[in-house]
Amino acid sequence: MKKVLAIVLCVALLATLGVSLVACNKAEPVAALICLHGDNSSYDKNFIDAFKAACEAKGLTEDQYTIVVDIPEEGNDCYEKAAQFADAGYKVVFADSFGHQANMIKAAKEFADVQFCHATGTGASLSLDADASNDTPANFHNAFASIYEGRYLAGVAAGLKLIEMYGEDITDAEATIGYVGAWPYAEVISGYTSYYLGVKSIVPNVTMKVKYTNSWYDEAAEKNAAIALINAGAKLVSGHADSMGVPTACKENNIPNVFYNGVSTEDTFVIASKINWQPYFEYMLDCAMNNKPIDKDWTGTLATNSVQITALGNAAAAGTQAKLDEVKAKLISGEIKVFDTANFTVKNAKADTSAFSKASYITMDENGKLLAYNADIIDAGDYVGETNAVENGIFTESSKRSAPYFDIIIDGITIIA
Amino acid sequence: MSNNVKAKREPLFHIVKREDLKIGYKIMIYAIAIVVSLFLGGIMSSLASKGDPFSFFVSLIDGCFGSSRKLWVFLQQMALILSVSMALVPAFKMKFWNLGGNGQILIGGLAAIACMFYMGGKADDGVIVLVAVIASALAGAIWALIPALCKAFFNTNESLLTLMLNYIASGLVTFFLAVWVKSGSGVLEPIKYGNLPELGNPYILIILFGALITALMFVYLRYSKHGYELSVVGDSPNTARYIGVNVKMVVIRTMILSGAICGLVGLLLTSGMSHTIGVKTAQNMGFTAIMTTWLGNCNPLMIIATSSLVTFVTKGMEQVRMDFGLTNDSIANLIIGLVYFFIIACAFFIQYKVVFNIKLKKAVKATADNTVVASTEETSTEIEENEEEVK
Amino acid sequence: MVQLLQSAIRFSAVFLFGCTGEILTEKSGHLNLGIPGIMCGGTAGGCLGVALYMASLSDPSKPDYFALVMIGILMAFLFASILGGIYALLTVSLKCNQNITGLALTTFGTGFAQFIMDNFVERGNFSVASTYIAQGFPFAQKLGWFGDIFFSHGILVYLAIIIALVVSFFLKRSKIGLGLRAVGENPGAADAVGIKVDKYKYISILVGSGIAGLGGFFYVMDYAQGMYDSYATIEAFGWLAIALVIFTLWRPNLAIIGSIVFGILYVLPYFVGGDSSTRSALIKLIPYVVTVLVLLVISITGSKKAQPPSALGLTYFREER
Repeated sequence: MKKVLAIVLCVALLATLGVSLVACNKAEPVAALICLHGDNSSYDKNFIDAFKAACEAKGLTEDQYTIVVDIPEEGNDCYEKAAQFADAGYKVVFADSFGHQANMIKAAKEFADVQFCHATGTGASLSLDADASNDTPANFHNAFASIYEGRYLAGVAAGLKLIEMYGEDITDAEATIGYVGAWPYAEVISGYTSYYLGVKSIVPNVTMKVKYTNSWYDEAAEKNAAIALINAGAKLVSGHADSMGVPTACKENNIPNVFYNGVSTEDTFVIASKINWQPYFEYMLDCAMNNKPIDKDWTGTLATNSVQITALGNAAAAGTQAKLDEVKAKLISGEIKVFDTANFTVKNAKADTSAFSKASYITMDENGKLLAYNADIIDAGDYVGETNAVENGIFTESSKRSAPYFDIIIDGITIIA
Repeated sequence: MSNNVKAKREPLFHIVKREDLKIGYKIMIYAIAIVVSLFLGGIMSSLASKGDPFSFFVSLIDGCFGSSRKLWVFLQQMALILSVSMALVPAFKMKFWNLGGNGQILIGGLAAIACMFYMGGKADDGVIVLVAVIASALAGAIWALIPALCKAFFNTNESLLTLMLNYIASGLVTFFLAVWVKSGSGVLEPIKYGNLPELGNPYILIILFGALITALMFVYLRYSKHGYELSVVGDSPNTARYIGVNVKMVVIRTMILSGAICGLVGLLLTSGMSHTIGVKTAQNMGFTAIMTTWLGNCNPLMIIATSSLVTFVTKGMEQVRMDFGLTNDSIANLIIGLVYFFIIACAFFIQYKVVFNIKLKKAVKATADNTVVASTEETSTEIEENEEEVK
Repeated sequence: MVQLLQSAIRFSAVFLFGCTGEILTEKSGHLNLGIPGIMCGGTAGGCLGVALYMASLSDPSKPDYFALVMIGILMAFLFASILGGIYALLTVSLKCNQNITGLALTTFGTGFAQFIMDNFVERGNFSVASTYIAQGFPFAQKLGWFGDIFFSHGILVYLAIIIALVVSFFLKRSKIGLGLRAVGENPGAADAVGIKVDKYKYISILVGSGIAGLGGFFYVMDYAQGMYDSYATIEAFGWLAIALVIFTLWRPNLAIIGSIVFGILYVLPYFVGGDSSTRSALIKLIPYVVTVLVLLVISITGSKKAQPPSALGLTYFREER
């Protein structure tokens, strides 16, 4: 009995000793990454890999940066973790999922000396209106990338594949593609619209069917949605959700697949687009380590290598790489604008009478061309569109704020149940 | 003692119920089990990453007590688990397997958020809070009442029913989020109306609630008539009926209580902490609490210990994951499961003693019909072993 | 419609494996809430087996069908049984509470599975392997929709049905099956007649767990085409399989139909689904609401045949007899 007590006491003593030792030896911490899931999610893996690479590129040692995973959007976990990092002296904390925003803002308010950065969020947009009282704190920053350019390129590759499969005289029925979306909101809508416009630039008579899963990660839902799209006539399927449900369905049905964030060696894989976070992370670390201010709202582009397309898969058509290089150069130079209002019409959206209709925000001419659109750029929680996003005939996506705000269902795209 | 009639097929050892061990022994056995399982956990973590077992323990402790904020979070988390356990205690004592804690918490939280969402800005904050308290307790109670009624009147299996209601509650949350979040993102921004007041810091309210509910449940079970009736029904429904207890009433009443407490935890999680709701708001506490309640033997005081332990391992493992660079939670589940196994096995060694009856076999072989001699031999074997054990 | 049925039948194999395994376990009087963890364990074991086999091949694009399937099944069965063995040890020999042990096993099992998958399983060749495992009868396509629904499935789907039928026969017709049922209804009486209660329990738990584990292996290798990301999906199936046991009144024959019905219910939202988030949220609730209704109907009608084994969940103490 006594022996056991003695052992327990020894362990406790050693432990306390250990804690104090550890506290003394730690080098100055710099950066922390908060992830929604772990590296089994392609979405988070993207961030994790880029973060590690950026930290190493900046010369940080392993105990100067930390990654914490499986921090859900609900609850206070994100806030607690961010606060703990601030307590421990970290200079910058980054969270990777939309739903982390509220907690990060809360932490930012409390720790004015620490920088809090957040992906896909809209908090920075509150600084755009005249009212300064609802602005997010100065040490809170948003970041994203003009991924629509990457998706446009992926769309071009998809279009070339369709031509390869069905020839230049591709019929309307053959020119049908499918897209599995997660949630019916701007980030996803902007994504599939830009992808669609990319396909359309190669196959003018293409139509797209979209099905939502209402989840960021649900393998069965994504797979079955893809199957439903294939049954509805889709000859090529793409998706924006974090599991491998869509590629699985495509493989089984021998349908070409365009993906997001991940690569695949399947024979049905064409191409994927992704955001490369390393440029932003390096920028963020540089500012944090040198006490320079970080941009309130940062949008990476093709030019900053924040938007990337992966290497072509086995299913890609011949000559795709050359065409992609050509289009990419034009996107960077500005010669091609993805959301050029000359390339699409919005008659269906204007005629929409459902509860979530955007008709009242649309101004269109008699041909259905979009003249003006009040997008909900300033995310004050009222879900009301207030800022015109159309300038000089172009819908200026990602210029007024990094998080996408194109949420019109254009003609040629139908949502299927 | 009819063992020797079937002596030929006796196993090598048999199991005998112990007399009550002294408290000191019990604690010692548990402590050894916990330390051993954590040590094994440390070894596993080290194999999977760059750390070592020693820093494993250091990280565990650092994760819970390493800073004042971490300590507050630890106490808050512990209080939450404790509260949910208190909800389950009366149900489990009644042998009603309420696996629906998650759903009851979630539905309570949903009710609270609904109040905040619809009344926010239109009524005084104090009024909203009051309505939310009642709504969440009521919602949780109803969610528990459904399986209670089915069990009481139709003898429906409550484990399955409560499990299914978990999923249904989760689905309802998704539904309402789709209705409320017009942007379509499925994420509800925190509502600033109708928040529970912060008493000094955000954690104290929850900790106080936990302490209060534990004290109340302790008194309720030990000193009230309800508590007595509850345990009789749990031991034997027939006996209860015999002494005039309305078993159906007890089942229903207890489950209303159980559900109401879970609902209030839902209120704390939403109105008191995150001010929003999502399908994971309950953080699987309904299941964790099953473990803590049972491991604590349905005794509120012991449950304080088990809740602390479980929270310690869970929160500590978060720190371990960060420090050891593990980027998914497989190790955490592995180690938590391991700790559970050890403690469960522990309970066995506390309640039972393994007696080897090699001597018995020999004795019986030699004197087949000398039953008295055989019995005496066995008893003396036990006594000898007892003496050795006590040493 | 054809797609719906085809998808449903394929999906039902997951439930059928889990359900049959759990029925076998429950017939011995043990409610094993660790099935979700055990199914994950089976997944890990099977995937490990496939990975090792594929790695040993000189030409990974042409595995031997028979060897691939057998190794996968055996390893899945083995790993799942080992996890089931932990449960058996704790609840049969050490007389611990079954519910708690089961829940602890679920936690442990999911972590264990993820651990194995992350650290020991090389997934590069899974795509090829899964194509082999999932392929149906060669003549299926020629039979049009009939072929699609009945003959296009991978071998594991048919195996699930065969196992369910075998278990059903075993329980109803064989002497050992009768003994097992006796153990589950009244272990004291069974013991008095000379049945080795503990031995029966051990075997039924080990075999039952093994069968359930095949369900997880099937899901990853066949349905998900080798793309495995997280245990959470399989864990959810485990809970549904446990619900299915009651749904099918502890009879493996009914389990075949029950899992197909469950499969249909589960897959239905994706085929019918609402065009709005609100409708789809409600439609996803259908499987669970239906289960609840069935539970109620079964208990209201209170049929004798529909009851669980009488000693389910109760620990058997010989000495207290």
